[in-house]
Amino acid sequence: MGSHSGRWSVVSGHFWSVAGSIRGKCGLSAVLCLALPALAPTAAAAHEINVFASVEGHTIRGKATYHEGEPVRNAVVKAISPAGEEIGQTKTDDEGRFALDARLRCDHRLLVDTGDGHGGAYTLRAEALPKDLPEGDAAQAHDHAKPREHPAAVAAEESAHEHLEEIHDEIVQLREQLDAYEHRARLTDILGGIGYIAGITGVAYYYLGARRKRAG
Amino acid sequence: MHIYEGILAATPHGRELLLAGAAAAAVGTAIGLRKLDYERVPKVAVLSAAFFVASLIHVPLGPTSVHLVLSGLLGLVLGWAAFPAVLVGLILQAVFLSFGGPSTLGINTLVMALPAVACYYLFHGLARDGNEPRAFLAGFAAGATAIVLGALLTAAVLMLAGREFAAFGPAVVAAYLPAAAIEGLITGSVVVFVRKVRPELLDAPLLPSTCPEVIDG
Repeated sequence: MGSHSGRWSVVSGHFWSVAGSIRGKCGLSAVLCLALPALAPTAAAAHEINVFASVEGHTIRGKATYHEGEPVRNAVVKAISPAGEEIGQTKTDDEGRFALDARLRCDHRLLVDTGDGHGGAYTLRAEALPKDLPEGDAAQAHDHAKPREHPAAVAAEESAHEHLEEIHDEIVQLREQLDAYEHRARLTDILGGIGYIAGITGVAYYYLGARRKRAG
Repeated sequence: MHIYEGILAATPHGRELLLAGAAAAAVGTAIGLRKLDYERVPKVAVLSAAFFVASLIHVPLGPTSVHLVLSGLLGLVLGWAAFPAVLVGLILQAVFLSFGGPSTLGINTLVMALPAVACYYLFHGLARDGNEPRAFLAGFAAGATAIVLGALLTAAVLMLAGREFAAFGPAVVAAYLPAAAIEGLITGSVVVFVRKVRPELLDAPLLPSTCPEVIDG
């Protein structure tokens, strides 16, 4: 798992550079800086199923795919709060997409389960959700750490809202692509695995050979 | 067939099951390694590699997709040595392909290797039969049985873990029935092929390379 979290930090690095270039192009001010943490990739534990979600208004929209990009159809999606309570449930459609109304502003752990032991999870951070929702337990901790916004910035945020939505869509698409790319089983991985098996065989021979020498 | 990371660790019963699974897998692996001698190491390595790669080959099937597990074949050829083969395959799948993870390694090894060992005892004799259709049948039965047993074990683990997974149990088994049929056909074909080309893999006599019709006649 260690190597995996390493990969994620690389991805988040990519995202920040992507975010940075978008910011440069559009000339949007600090508003975007405040809005972007919501779009930063969160710790999605990768499994056989890739889950990805983002927020639109008060709705959490997401998609679940298998490693090959095949949509996960008709699977149960559960939202779990940091306290471990179920705070929402839905199902994926034929394209693997799902939508869920957010009722609390807290971290949403989205579990997708196909019912046959295959599944995946994605954690949507509280910051991504609208501020007018009642706060869940974990959200407060994040909020204290965050500096308060200036009223002028709030006004600017409203005016830039349309721009933000476009950028949001683009980043969502980029993240889906990156996610798919990141989780695709690669030939190097497969060959690496087979190489390890050859190495383990060598070690097994070494010990069995040593045992044989002692016996003989 | 993997029980995925995080789902069992969420409940107290699940954590107990993870520990029990890890302990059982350790015992199985120890028995497997004890029975492993010099000549059988390459067999274990080849089948471990096959197991590692097989899970990547998805066959679209109706609304879902299934992949080969090969646990029946591992059982027939390796017996108890299926435990170390599955364990190594799963470790590498977790590291390279992010299937499963460290906490579920034990229980997943158990869920796939225990049916393999059961298939060894159930079908090894029949797989050595001199009659080709019977050898195929042994392979088919081993492949299919290993998947069904694995699904039953998965369902049992999910049910024992408690509350929200209980409903998934029967669905798990139903979802694996088509996979079991495909797995059976593949394992049956492999057994017949191996019997004709390298029968020593199954410690069996060479099967004559003739058409089944000739044998039937």
